[in-house]
Amino acid sequence: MKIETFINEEKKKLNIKGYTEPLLDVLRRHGYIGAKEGCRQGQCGACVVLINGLAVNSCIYPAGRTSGKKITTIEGLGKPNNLDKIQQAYLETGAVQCGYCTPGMVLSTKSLLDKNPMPKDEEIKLALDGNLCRCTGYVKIIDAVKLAAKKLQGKK
Amino acid sequence: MNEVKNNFLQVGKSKIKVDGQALVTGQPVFVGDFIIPGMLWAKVLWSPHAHARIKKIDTSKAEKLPGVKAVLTYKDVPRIPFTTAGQGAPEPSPYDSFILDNKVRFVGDRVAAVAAETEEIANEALKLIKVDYEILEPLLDPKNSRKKNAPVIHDEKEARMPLPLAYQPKKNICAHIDIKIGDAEKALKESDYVIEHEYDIHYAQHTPIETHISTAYFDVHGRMVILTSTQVPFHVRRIVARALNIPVQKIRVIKPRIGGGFGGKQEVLIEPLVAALAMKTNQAVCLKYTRSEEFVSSRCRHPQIINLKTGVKKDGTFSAIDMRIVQNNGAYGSHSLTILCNTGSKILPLFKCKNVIFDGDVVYTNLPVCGAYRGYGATEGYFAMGIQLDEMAEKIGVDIVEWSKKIHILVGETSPVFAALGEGVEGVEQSISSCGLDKCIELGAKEINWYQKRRKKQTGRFRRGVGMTIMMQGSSIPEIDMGAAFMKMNEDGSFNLLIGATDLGTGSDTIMAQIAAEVLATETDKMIVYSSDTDLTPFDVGAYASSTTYLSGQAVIKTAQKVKEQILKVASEMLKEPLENLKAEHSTVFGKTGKVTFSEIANYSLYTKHQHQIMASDSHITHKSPPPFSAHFAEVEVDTLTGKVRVIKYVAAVDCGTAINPISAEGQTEGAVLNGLSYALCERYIFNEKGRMLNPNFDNYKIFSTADLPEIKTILVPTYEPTGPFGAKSVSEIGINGPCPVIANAIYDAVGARLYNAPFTPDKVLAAIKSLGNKFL
Amino acid sequence: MNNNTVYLPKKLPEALKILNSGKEKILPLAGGTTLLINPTENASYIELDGLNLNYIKSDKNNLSVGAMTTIGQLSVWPQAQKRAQGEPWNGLIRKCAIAIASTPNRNMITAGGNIVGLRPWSALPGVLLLLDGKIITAKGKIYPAKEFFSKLPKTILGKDIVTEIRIPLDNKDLIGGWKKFSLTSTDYPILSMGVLYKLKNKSTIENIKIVATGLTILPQRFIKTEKLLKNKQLTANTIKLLTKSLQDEAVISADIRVAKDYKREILGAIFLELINNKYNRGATEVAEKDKNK
Repeated sequence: MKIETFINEEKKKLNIKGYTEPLLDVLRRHGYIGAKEGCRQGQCGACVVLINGLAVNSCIYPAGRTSGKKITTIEGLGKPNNLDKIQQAYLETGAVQCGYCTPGMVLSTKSLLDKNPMPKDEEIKLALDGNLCRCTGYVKIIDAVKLAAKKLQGKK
Repeated sequence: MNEVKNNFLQVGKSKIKVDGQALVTGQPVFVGDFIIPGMLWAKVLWSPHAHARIKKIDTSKAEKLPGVKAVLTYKDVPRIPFTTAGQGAPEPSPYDSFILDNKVRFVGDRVAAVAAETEEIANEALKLIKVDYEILEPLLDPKNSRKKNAPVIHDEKEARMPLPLAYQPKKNICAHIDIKIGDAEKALKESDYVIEHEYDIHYAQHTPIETHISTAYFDVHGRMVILTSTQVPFHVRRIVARALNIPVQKIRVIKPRIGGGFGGKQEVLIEPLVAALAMKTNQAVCLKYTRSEEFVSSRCRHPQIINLKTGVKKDGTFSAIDMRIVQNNGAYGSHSLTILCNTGSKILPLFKCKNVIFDGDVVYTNLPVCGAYRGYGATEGYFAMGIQLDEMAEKIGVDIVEWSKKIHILVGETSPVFAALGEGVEGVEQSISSCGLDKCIELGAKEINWYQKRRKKQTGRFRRGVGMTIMMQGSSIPEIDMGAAFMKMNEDGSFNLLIGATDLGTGSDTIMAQIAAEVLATETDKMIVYSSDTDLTPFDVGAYASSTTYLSGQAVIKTAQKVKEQILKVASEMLKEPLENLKAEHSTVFGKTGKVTFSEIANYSLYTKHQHQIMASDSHITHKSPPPFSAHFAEVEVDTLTGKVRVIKYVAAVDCGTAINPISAEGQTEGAVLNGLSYALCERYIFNEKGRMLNPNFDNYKIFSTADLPEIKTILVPTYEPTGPFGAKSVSEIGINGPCPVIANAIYDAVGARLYNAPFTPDKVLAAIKSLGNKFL
Repeated sequence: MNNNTVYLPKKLPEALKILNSGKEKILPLAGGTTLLINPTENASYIELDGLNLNYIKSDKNNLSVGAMTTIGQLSVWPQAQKRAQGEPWNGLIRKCAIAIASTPNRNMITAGGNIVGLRPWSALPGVLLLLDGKIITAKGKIYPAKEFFSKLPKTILGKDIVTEIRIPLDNKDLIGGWKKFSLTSTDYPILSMGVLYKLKNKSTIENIKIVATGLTILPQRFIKTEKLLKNKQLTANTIKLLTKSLQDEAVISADIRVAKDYKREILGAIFLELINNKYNRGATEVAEKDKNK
């Protein structure tokens, strides 16, 4: 089955095995390997991508439903030596340890900051509450989001 | 921020991780990102029974399913016993595992394995395997393991201990240790107060966000390459060779980036099976654990039942410790003796207590298998000791903060426990050469506002309290573990640094780069680090025992020093000046009359005259295990009507010597603390009466998310460990030892109820409050 | 796995036709969270995304929420400006929505799915019982919440599709409250409780409605306790009586996480936390007896 969608603002035709094939598998098969498998139950957030700017668990998102929608994956942000401001902030605050949760975490951050440019701590914690991390204890991740907010406002 | 003023230029700075850019942009760096064309997918048939023999197993239908390339049972693999424990050879863990066996010993044990063209086909094939089990009586309570008529879990003749250590499988005992120092029985009698409690430490899983995953394939020469998410690549190579009876030479193990380990991947868990499937099919095979398989069929923290009796005198003398342990290893003996020993060796020496009895058995049960988990026995022991210390202080009427300062070991002092208990057999005598614990206690108490908040008389539904404890860990396993490094110089003054040391996300690649750069007087980003490839990097035991900085870091220093000598020698020739005149600074060698850059030196050495490759290698073993020290504090709020505990603030003050990368050291501490907090408050295994885990998923095995994050403050207290690289010790494990006892002590301060088993779920806390009856006001 | 046939109707009547076509095992596909975690073998699905069922509208009488509106959208309703003017029912809907699962889950779970599916995270049924909501279906049926949740909704619904939830706005000045009690913030509830009440003279409960979800699969009202509290003040004695009444009325099913008795025990405490801030955090009295400890 073929569907047409937008991935990182590029029109893309995706081959899917069925309407309800998990978006995670479709993305990874098409080379977008930033989204990771962690639980396949929508509980850990390692698979988070944005659909029309909102974070969803791609492991339980039916790929067929993305027809005509805008998908943002981590590949749509920066590249090595050309990071976007959120990614830069994550590195500067030490928010990346093993990096497995990082793509999902960064995308949830982007979804938050696009809508709420200067979020309070409680709002940050809420926006990231579906992205589990076992390495960092989240402290530096919260720091990263605040730093990213400042960078995006041109303050740092 | 915890940046410290020192004269270092690379070390002690929060350098950005060398692999940071790749990780933050989602580059394909994890095992699951490498798809080899034609790769097969493996699935495992798991036992539904806690204890059974396989009477008959028929795989014929499964083999015929189109797309299935191999089905393995115990009949298809060598019957060679090994241990899955990722430890140096000969491993101090029993050889009681087979790749596949004709007996199953827990719900979730391996029965058979399939390799097929897709995961779906492999799963279908599993359903077609017919197994006739002879169901045996399960042994689910470790207290029953040693009883006379208990079912024998390891009755196979092959099970043995590779070292001359206690091993009595017929009694379900897989390890034993006991030591005596002084005369604890007498000292207890002479104590003014004797406190005795039984503590129950519970099952937990590391829950790395990336589950266990391995891919085995053949290179163009027909050598097997195992790409695996592991903390111990060299142990993987050796143990796979053993289990399959093939030469080490035929195997290459590569660890790319891994998505967390925390000890769960200090295990040669799935590699032998994946390798067997690859050899059977002659194709690449990948085995990836699902999340529920990770909970049930990988490794867990060792539950322990600790009977702790301590004696204290009115004058504050900590007079006696009698610590007896029954450790539950689950169905196989991985890391059995070493964890038990660590419960003693990382706790007992902390205290100035001259009379100690430490006695423990490790037993088999028909339950999920336990292995290494951050803290490695110390977490278990500190749960008991940390709570008991609080009670002892109360009994003699002193403030625990002040008393903690009086009872701990000091610089220059030693403890007989160091020599008596190692990680396995004998330990190594050592005396303390750096200790910032008093400062940790002082700064932590100040940060939490201890004296304003402790022992507050309260009324009302929500009550607050503060608690604390002190702890130590170790840095490396002295005289046993080894790490090595190799370095070469390139034209532009960059260096290739090849190390066996294993970065599991801890940032060790970066730390090693910083250390090398500091020695060489160059920049961290001049280092090209490549690690954990058994063909290309020299040996290293791997990431465990808080070794990487202290052990592998020293190998890097020695290597870099040799390289520096060579650089200076070439510079001396180029500048025509004697070595005494030369100094290296900022990637340049300065003489009295001139200077040459590292790049010029490298070009000269490669192309101009007396051409040679500037390169060196060296190995290191440590001769002591200098403990990092830490003091943790927490403020909690208890809802006395529901028992719900909310952590308001947590303070971790830690002395890790020199923090090579301060932000990294904080990150390790914060991660360990949060892991410890959810272990203390909500992580648990729920078993049914047949030994099946009922909650093998994140739905009901709860770990903290950002929404549960309390205020956490990390304080790095710098000291200088003379035997460590630039004064460093270690930091990665110690933080997880605090939360359980600290929260328990804070709950006691808030409501007056003591808890002796975790997790402190609301129902448990409420029951404890209610059992106080009229004592609770 | 996950290669079930999916129908993509362009209009609601078409969807209804497919559902009633007599084919075996056809299920509406709403958020997808349930059906993709546990795919039903050999089932076909009818995609509801694209049927224009994602809206939140209000006129002066009713709040209408389309069945495909996500919990995430409900968690930010009303918009900040309107919220500043005063939230209907003191933000009851928002408080309930925000307590459901996690952010990415909320962006997928739908209002319709949450009330038909009755999953561990179903909290909206409780809110609808409090607000006397109505469930509108494609076949034109209008079920009062009380009827819809008297049995498993699937059995009441039959081969029909929920299209809208309609909530009367005539009582929007009542005070609403919602509390999820769980081990962690994004956890399934051990139990949740909701209230909707009116005070008179600032300290007397004129009338009140109380619901709980997570005790059994169906949400439950505490009618007897509501009667008990009518026109009462929250004295120590009343609290004792209402606690016992909640415990007596509650129907509780087994849960692997905690004993039934524990859930029964804490009902009163959860209720108190909901109803009156005076009993909440803040007023911890501090008395220092012994300064030299």
